[in-house]
Amino acid sequence: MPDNDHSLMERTAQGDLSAFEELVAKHQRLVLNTIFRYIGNQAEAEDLSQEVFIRVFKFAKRYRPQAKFTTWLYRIITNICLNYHRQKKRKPSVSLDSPVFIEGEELPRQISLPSDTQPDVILERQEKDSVIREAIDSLPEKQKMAVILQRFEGLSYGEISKIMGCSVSAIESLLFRAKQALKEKLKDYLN
Amino acid sequence: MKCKEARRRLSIFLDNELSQKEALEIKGHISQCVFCAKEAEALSAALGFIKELGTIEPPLDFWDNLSKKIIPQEERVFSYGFFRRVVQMPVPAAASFILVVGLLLGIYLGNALYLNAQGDSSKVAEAGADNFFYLASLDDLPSDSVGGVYIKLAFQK
Repeated sequence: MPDNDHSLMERTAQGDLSAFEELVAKHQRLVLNTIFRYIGNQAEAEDLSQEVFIRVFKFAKRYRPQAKFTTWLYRIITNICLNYHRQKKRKPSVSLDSPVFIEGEELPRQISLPSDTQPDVILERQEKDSVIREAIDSLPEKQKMAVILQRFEGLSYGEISKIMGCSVSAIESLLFRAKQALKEKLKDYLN
Repeated sequence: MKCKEARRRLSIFLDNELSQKEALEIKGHISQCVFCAKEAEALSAALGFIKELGTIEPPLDFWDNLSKKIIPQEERVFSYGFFRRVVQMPVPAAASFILVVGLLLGIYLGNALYLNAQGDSSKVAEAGADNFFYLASLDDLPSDSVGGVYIKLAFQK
């Protein structure tokens, strides 16, 4: 309910921390997963999610309920993700979460799945995630963000254009190119 | 509709962003064109596949960690505001400190020099040990002066 978000923001702006806590509890999963899909690293996604909420808190007094709260929230997420990418390009670093290769083979990652999960199911899941991740990561940054917002978050072209500060036709074009690239990248796995 | 136009709109069609009329045109074209139907199928499969990317859960201490970063910011404004202002203004803070120290030193040295000049150096150590600021000397103010009246009122029981 967007109205509830607006009133929670209003109370946050007045210094009501319980309202802010409620707002965080409501949106933390959305923020974390959007960032995780974009950067593919859980630890860094958690840090950046905290950064998003710090900005929400900091700018609560300046917040004006003109559009949906989530549109404003996605705009902050998009800015943080694109800034992260720019900084990463300037200062490349090795992440502890990045895949480890030994003699050209990727070392399987330990993941927490239910103990009764079959090893082949775990492997299949890991391989699938890795293929999807690679395909998404191969996209240029703006195409990647547009795909995440459209496919995973289910946002309309109009909303994405507001969030990314582009025209609707620019979003159409970004998504068209992204889908063509994904189709090419994944064709071997889909046949 | 030509295939080139149909393929451009196919992407928008798969995202349910076309008007009903345009969507019907695309559907009509796909039902008649094998190549565009295959393209639609491939795109749809790729988009369906990426949607299977796993999700993650926020850590249980997400709010605790966040509140630690936010609440100190709030408190600092009130609790540590003065200290932070001092740190932010090193020159005025240092000047104020030097002024206060200089003033205290001046009072002490002035009195010490006065007593020395009167040839009673034993009183310097005695007065210095008993009362650094020589407040006892205020007792010597004339009783009908403003200072004398003030001291009298201030210490009246």
